[in-house]
Amino acid sequence: MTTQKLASIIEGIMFVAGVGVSTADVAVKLEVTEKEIDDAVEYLGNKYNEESGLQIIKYKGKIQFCTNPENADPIATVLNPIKERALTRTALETIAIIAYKQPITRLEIENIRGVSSDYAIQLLLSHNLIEVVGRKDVVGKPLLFGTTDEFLKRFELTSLDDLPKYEELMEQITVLSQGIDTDALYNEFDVPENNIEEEIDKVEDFEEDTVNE
Amino acid sequence: MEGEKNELDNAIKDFNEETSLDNFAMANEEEFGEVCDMVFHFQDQDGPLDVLWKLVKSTKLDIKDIKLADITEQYLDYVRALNDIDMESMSWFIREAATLLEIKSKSLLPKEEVEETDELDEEELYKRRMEIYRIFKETSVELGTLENVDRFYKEPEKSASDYRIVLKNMTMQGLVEAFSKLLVRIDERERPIIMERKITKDRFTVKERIATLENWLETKNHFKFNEMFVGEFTRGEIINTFLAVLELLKMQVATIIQNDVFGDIDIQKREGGKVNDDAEIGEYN
Repeated sequence: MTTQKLASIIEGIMFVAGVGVSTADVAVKLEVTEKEIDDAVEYLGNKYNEESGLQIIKYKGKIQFCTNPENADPIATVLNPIKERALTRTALETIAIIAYKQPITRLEIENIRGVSSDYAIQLLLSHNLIEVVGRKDVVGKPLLFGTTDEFLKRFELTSLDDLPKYEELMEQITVLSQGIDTDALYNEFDVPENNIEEEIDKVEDFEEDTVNE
Repeated sequence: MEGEKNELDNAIKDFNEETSLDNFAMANEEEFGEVCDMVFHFQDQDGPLDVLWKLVKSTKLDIKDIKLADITEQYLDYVRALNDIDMESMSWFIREAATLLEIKSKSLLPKEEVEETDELDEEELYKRRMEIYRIFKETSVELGTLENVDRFYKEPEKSASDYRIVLKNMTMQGLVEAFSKLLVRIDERERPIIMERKITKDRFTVKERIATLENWLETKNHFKFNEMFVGEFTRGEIINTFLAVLELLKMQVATIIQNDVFGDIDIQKREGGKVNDDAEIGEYN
């Protein structure tokens, strides 16, 4: 198969999919090599260049069509309500913490920000920028949050490693976090080792003693 | 063309600046804050750590060289001045205030001579916490510059990820065979439980029967009960006829005479009665 032909097929797949198309998946299903796919994607990249009305966004090994951001306003004028607002400072702060420290609980986020983050988390959830990825195995089994593909697309990142200064920041945080016990946030308590009945007996004995005195 | 593009760029930039929520919130507060008592903060007010960082900045010293005790008083002043703030936010401010006061009070007490331990003192830990917050705060600004809300996407085709059923080696004959096998199997499993029954439609309703009987009375003046059932009648028809007779009695159009027990019933016309053909017998239709 020629690169042009493969590119034309992938072009069609991307149009129909409407979600990110995994190039690895395409390679397996069409029985072509990853190299061939890469060439075809590069070919498409040149076709849908900076000037083009459509462009290709890449993230997490997936490709998807999107419109040229330069045309955002005219498009929004014609098809009114689809334009989204940039995130607020609070929401940005919260999603930055989630992005770098994921998976993370609400309590941990609030501990870093030093302020209630409920509203910001709800906002990010409703925008599908974060999602619940599990529960932390501590008292209360709180929800853990992580970022979504939508987040990568919105911030034009190919993967989480592309976060600004990822390595550097993580290193700094690790150094600073030394000696700070985040697990202490959860009201961890030890279940008494002794048999509870024994404990009760002890208390009763003690009470009896005091009464006798 | 080039000029147009620049113009568009500028327009987009202006638009983004105008719609940035910070500006919006500020403008909103200026415009409406005085008119009505309610002031919306859009959740973007400074948190306690923001305030602390501003205080640190105002001393123009590095955080490592600052005694938290020194800025505690200023922080408390700030908290005292916070009037129109909701309980939820206030509690977070007070939480930090409490921690700062604890650290300050410890620093004022004469230090016991203790051996150096590995444990970091609280002030150090607190500063680190602030530092971590600052890093995230600064990074979030950087992240913000990457944000692009100007791209639009197409919805997936509705059928795109549906399951597809592929029928392999399918022939019409095969289908018919499979279907007849299925029928046989159902037949074996399900012996008919319900017997076939015929439901005969009544030839007349109560209302119609009343009309007929009244007609008979008009022409013949009287008739025998048995005369009404010449030929074949269904159970429903007999009931309808009986109801019709009762109706005629009720309307006082007819009288009934029976001389012996089980004897012939004679239905006679009665003067003065009137057939009311709408309301009364409507329920039998």
